[in-house]
Amino acid sequence: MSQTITIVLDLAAEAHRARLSTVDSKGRFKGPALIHLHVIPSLKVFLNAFEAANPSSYWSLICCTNTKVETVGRTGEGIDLDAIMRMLDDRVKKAEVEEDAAPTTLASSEPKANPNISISKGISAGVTTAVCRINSYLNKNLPGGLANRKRKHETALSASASGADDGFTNLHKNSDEAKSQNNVIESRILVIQTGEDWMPHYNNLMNCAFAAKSAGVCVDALQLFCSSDKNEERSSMLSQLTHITGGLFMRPPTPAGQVHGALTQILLTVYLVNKSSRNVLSPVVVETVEFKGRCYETGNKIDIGFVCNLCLSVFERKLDTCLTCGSKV
Amino acid sequence: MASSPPPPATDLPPTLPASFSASSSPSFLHYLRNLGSKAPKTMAALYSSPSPSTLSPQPPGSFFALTVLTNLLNEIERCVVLRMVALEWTEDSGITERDFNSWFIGSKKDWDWEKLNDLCIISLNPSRSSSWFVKLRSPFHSSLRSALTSTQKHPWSLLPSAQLKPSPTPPPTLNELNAYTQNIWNGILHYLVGTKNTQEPNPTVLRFLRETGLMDVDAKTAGTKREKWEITKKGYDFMLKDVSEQVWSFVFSYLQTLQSTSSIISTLLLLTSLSHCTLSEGYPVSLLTKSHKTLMPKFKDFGLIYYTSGSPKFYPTSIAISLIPGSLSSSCGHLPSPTSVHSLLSLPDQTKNPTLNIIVQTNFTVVAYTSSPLHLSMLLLFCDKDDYMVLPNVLVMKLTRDSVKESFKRGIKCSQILKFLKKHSHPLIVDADYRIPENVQSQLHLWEKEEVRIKCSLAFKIYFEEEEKEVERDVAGWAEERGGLIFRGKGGVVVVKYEIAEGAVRFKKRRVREWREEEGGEDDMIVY
Repeated sequence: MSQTITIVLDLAAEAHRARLSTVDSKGRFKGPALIHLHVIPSLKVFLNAFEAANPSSYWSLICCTNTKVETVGRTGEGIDLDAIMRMLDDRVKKAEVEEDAAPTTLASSEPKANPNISISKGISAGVTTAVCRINSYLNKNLPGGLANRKRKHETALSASASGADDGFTNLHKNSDEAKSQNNVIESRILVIQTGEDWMPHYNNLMNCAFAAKSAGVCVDALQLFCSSDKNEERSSMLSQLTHITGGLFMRPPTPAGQVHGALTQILLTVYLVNKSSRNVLSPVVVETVEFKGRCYETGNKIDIGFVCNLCLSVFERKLDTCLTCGSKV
Repeated sequence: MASSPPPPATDLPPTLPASFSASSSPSFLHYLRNLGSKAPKTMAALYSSPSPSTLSPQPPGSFFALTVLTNLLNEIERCVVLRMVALEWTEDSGITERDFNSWFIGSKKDWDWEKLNDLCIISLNPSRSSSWFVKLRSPFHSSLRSALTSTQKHPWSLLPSAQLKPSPTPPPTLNELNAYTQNIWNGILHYLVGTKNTQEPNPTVLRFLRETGLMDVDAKTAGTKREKWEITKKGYDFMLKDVSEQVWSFVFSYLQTLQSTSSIISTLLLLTSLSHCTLSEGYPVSLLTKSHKTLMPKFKDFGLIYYTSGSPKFYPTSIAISLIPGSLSSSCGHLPSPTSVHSLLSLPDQTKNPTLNIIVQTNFTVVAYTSSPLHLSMLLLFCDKDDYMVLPNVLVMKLTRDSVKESFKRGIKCSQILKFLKKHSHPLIVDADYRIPENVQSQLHLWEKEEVRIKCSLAFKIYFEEEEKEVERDVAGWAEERGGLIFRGKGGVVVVKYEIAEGAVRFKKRRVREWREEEGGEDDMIVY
């Protein structure tokens, strides 16, 4: 079985995180992890290990900021560090404009009050790009191409409609045709978020989740700490995204657990195991899913709300008319 | 594989299990596990082999560790070993039994303790409590860490041409490299089959053909001045194998002849380094070690390396790169691009590379798209020699009862013929439900079964008198218990296998004596 992995790396909050990095008395980092110092080297080791663990494999690295999505690495070409640094510089400059020239060095100055620079607004664009590319790649490389995938999709749908197991997981692997041809491609996406959730993109991300699920793509997620505060809020969007697609969501236990090789250890222990092997090798992760939705009016995260009985939009207050479909509630 | 671990490292037997002998299938894994008592030192030396020069920052030992990880372990073992790579331990610590067991869901059936210990990857040590802890052995651990943290994918630096002395010949193209390898192997196979006007291969190859039993002296000409060598049954089997298997047989037989550990280490390191090279890239000869330079002529004879004397660079061929497959090199590491998939499915171009593409029809006609006389010779091993057509790019032959049975007499099996035909199926029918029609497959199996319908074995007949029916029954039962009863007739005849005949007769004598004593009669039995 061939493996592909697309890593979506969020650079949006790097300026904020660089400002909040702390060092101990010996000059060593205490977290959070910085992209060019900690995350990229760990990713290089992880990608080498991925290629070693899967002889027939393909990987690509997509970086996203609040305004841009760019592919900065793929199998055979390595990681383009210059492109990443350009995106980081670009992001830092935009953060400066947003905050009236705040310092960007590792000074111990207090962060500005503007919360926008710690929010990951580009995650949904990055995941959308990844899903589209994987879909297009699978259509070209699976035997029979798009027609075969459509046929398998219909078979899976009819199987699920008749009450059988979730046919999506069988799309690529378990059909007799795929087994006999022995050229099944198993695809994964690994999302590394370095900032906080941006609720207005909740719908986009959920649409990506369902599209990934229908394409048989598993989405894993790793949320890195944005500051040295270990009580930072967990990402509910990422946990729901991974839950829908059957992936793994994890956050390092502490901000210091992202530096000095700890991030490498997390990547190799949790995210190296392929989807098909996770029923044999435990991924050593226990994270609960936060099933909070988003209010379609205010964008706030809610766990109890009012639902339109026509379009199923969720609101935190009772309305006479649904704002999405216009029907009388 | 049992889920419970073997006893701690100090109690493990020094020799390998008896099932792995020198005569077993010569795969890379079997060869490494057959190193016997030399294994720990050899493997440690292989893993920790240092870099020969500053121009090769990645030591060859790390490439060897990577090759072992990628090729010889299954997916679960690779993931577990890579998990352990990121960890650090002291001498008397490791992953405890409880933590290790928690990594697995259910039984550890995909985890082979013996194999990982034989390859000197893990060590299992008793802990102070009654359990154990496991960790990676330090030579393997450090070389794998080096491989994973390095950005260099090639075992030798690709020095720019300006730093090398000028080459007398231009570098070979990809097609020239493939043609070079093909010519060497075609020559060897032509000589094996006995095609007329074939040039004799070089002495290294000749010695291999004779020592491995692929060729033997013709009985008619043995001992005379015109002594002739001809192909044996093993040789026919060899001819129908894949090129990679054939090359590995050569390499394996060469490795068997090596006596010193240092020469084994040197050869294995060169082989694994070659598997990490990129096709059609030239690597500087000056960066090779002295021992590797002495191996170059032999590897050239096997078609693994292309180089001309005086050239500053050598070029690994596709055979060398795919000999131990699964490296991280870009030439064979990633999935095919859409255009390359399309080219794979398009019709082959015979003018560039003589390929063999076969279509087997339901009327037992074999249509082979090839223009190579070697392919004709190979197909004539089991097709009718008197009824075939040779067109400019097509051979039309027939599978007949006589031709197939003739091949069975040579030692070729039905499964080998089917495997050969399936392997060389035409690209247009590769995705079909049956590459070979069902009726053809069934008929080949039936023809093969005709060879074994009658089985002859040496037997012994024991006769009994009419009144000795009880004794006859007891003797038949005794023979059946030992699996030696062939036939029991009505007229007082029992036929047993010759191996147990002596015991059956003795048993009969004893039973007759007992029976006669019970009956009160005289002891007048006849002894056979």
